[in-house]
Amino acid sequence: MGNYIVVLTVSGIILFGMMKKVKVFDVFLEGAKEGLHTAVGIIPALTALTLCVSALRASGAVEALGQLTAPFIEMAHIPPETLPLMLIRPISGSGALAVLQGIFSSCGPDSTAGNVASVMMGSTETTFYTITVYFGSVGVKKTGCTIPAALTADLTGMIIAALTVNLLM
Amino acid sequence: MNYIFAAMLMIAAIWGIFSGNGEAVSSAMLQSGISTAELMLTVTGGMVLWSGIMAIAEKSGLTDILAKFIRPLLRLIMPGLEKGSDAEKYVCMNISANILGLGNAATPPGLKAMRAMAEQHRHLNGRPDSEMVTFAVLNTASVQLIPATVMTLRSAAGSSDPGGIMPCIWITSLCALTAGLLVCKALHPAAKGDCNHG
Repeated sequence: MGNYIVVLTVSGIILFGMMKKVKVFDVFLEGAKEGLHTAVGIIPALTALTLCVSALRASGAVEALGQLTAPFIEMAHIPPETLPLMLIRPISGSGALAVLQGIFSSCGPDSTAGNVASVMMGSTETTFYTITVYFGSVGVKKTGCTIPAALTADLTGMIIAALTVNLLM
Repeated sequence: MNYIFAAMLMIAAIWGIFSGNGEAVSSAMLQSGISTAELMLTVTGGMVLWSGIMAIAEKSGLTDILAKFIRPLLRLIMPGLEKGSDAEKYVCMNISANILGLGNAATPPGLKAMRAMAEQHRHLNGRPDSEMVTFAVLNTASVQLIPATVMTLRSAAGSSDPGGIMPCIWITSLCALTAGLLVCKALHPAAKGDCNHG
């Protein structure tokens, strides 16, 4: 099903662009160039966070943390492999990418852990970064109930991710 | 972020050495550059491709059409937003760009929306009003139709159905957003009051 959505979206967007007389190829190149800039921009952070994530995994600390919290996350049927992702997702987008990649290579993308991790990644944001950028731009220092609300959203997302994957996949 | 970076490496080093995994940590550190390069190629490829496609969506006016559908919904969650104001326009542009997965295109109107809302509420003196909080939570909940990066990574890892998780992602992000908005409203007894007790 998902693969049809991709075909339909891509062809639909291009068809709509043609109908609106957009120079689709030129605009694609412009947009792609911007995407390249963004991607290059995250390379340093991605390198730093991959270093942390792989060192933490190899040290066994992640495993120990997993064992410590296992009773809680098992209640929600959350695969224990996704715990590091839950912890790093609100803090660092690049770190989350590195963790997600690690889960894919150790469990496989189509395993339960791989699916749940994908849903967690796709349905949440880098909460702290977003709040900093948005409130920082207008000089708001007291964020009030933004962080509790955003973190509740993240936690809900993590639990529902496991639930939807268990029910629908 | 500086402390988090240092703390993660310190924990890895200390834990690794004391649990006898020091060698594994060393080789993981040396390997991490290589795995970054692989990850980078995948992520870059996906970003370039989808940024191109989404630029067409934006240029052809798809975002504006989406914004029209969003406006009535917006009344529900941000009732304090003035009809027809600049703030409302920018909020709509931001949300529709987010839904289309145009993260980068979403930020400029998002920041303009924040500025417009802050100007309407100068009296709050550096504290956000409930609309600004709601708007920030909206942006942290990532409601998007095409989770391009996740799908690219899945397909690179050899998934048999990279897009199969999309329905789960839609349901999950809507639930997460709802939970976030409910907490917003719960901590905000007065609809128009400022948020200074969090």
